[in-house]
Amino acid sequence: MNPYALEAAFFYLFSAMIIGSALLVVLFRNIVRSAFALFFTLFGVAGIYVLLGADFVGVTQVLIYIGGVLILIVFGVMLTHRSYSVDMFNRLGTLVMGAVSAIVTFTIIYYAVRRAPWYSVGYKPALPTTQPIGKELLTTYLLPFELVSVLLVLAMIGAAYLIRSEVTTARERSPITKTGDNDSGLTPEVSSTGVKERGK
Amino acid sequence: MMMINFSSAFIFIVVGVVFVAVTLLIARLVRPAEPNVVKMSNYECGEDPIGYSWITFNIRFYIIALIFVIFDVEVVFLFPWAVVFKSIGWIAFWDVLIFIVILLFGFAYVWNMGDLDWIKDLGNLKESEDKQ
Repeated sequence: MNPYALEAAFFYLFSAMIIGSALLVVLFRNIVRSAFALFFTLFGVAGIYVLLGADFVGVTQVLIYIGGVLILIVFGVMLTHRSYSVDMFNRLGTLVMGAVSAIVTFTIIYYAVRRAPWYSVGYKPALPTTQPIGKELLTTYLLPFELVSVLLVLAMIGAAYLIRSEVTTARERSPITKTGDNDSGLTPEVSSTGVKERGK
Repeated sequence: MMMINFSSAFIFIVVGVVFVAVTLLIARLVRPAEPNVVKMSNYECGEDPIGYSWITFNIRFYIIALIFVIFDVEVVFLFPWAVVFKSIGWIAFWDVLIFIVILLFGFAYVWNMGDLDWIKDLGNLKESEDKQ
């Protein structure tokens, strides 16, 4: 079979998957269903990456976006108070504005695609990219590689700090677990007084 | 060669999806449709379900999920390292050791600040069990 035709077939398959599921993300009124449809969008994008010969980026897409970020989104939905029963819909005014911005965005992308000089290099079989990436990371780009871990630590500490204050305020607000505790966490003794107070 | 490997993964996914879909379709064709109240209720390990199953989660799950995403990204950086480890040698080992030790500082921080503790809930649970 012609490799061009096969690749084109897969390209259209993944494109249909991305566009269709992205439409469902917007159109579903139940936000949990939107999150589930997002899975297919992200997976289709991973398929496009692989078709472009970027195998490492494709696997990263599956690992981080599907395995991590999507789970985070679902968690966020479930943490939000009663967000699952909220009917999501837009008013007519936002519909008009959305249509205008969609048309403008499409026009910009269309002209960018038409005006870009596309160079063709002919058909070349894609080679695995993980090994060259690893070699470059550990030799040429060693300092950025180590700085990535610093960035990750900063992100982790910042996120934990922000959420910790959320947890504390949520606990202070809710009457059931209100114990007047501090940031360092409840010891069982402190929480036992909380239970006794509740029993009164 | 690379595309052949990915296409075998793709075939694996397609077979998995088709397998489940066909099984459910056959079950739908064969089974009798007699819904009643007990049958339509949620299954909770044989217990009678109380309330709505879509409860709001404890926000502490979110901290755990965020820390998981951070270490997910770390694992992605370890993949290319593992592929070239043999050809580069021991210097690669020390490079990645520094990478991981820096991340362990963040882990030590969240551990030390009690973000990973579940004892808060455990204490409440124990007390309410004693009362019963």
